[in-house]
Amino acid sequence: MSDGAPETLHQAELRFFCVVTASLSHQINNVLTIISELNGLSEDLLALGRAGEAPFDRLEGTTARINDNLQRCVEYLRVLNRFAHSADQEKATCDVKELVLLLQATTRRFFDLRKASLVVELPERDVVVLTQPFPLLHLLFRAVWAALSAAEDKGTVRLSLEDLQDRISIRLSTVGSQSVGLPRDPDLQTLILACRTLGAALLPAGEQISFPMQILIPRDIAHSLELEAR
Amino acid sequence: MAQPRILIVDDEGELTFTLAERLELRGFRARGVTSAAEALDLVQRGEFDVVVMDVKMPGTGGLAALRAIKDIKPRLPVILVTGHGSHENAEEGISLGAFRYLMKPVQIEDLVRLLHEATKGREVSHE
Repeated sequence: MSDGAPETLHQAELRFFCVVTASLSHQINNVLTIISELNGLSEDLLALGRAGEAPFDRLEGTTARINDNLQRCVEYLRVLNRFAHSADQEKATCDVKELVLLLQATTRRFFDLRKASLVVELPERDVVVLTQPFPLLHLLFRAVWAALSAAEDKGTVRLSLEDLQDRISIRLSTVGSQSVGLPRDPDLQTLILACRTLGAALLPAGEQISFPMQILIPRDIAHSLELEAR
Repeated sequence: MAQPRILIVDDEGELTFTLAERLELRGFRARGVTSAAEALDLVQRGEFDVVVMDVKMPGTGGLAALRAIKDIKPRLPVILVTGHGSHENAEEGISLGAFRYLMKPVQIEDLVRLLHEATKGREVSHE
């Protein structure tokens, strides 16, 4: 995700925010373009109607298509809004399942562009943690981005969430290459920094990002960072 | 006079098919496809007079597809369509031989005018 230069965590988080908002606004723009075109088609069909050939079936179909795309647009806006609000609180109790689903929604376009897919495996029960929601989203995004970079085109990245007793496990695996980037990869350095902020552990530890990868997140960030400070 | 045959290429299927419907209502024969691979296959068969193509597409993007089209049919006019922020790509497309480019959202009258310009003086020789 970086262009080679080492980033501070703050720069990395800002870049993450920009990448996601740019992508979602691009998707919204695309759907608005479709709605605009469908609206133009409705006008064309109405003009035909005024000329005597009233194509009611086609008009009905076009209206339904406008409605479907409005729903798509509303969904993108909902995701964008939830993403923007993830930075509201420095620390909060949140369900990691919901964050993973938000991550899946925000990264869908990047996967589509590679014709790849992100398969998410979630436990049935909620996975509630006290954490920093935005930095956690950033960490997950970084990890998924690295996995997507390592995956082959049309490949699959698998993310599985597991509730351990005092920690939450997120495993990422990818079909294709098992490592990505250069030794001492700047992206790896950012990933390590993002883990440290949350008191999380990144496995395997090494000088290269490799898959399968596991991230262990403390259930209570305050408790975890307090223990680390001692 | 034969209807000009237009190939529309954009990974957003709904946009492609809607644009094709609107062009059909204006006297063109239009077909939409959602990938560069499908477009190249149809161009190879020589079934179209103008290609209208999105610059940003998954897999083979619009510029790579433009190069391939120019290899197969150097004289086939290609109109590029680009979104906000992809202006430089469109300029590059012109240097690669694209006929013109349009910014999204495309105004149908602008597209129709360009299609007439692109087919003007060209023999549209089909049934």
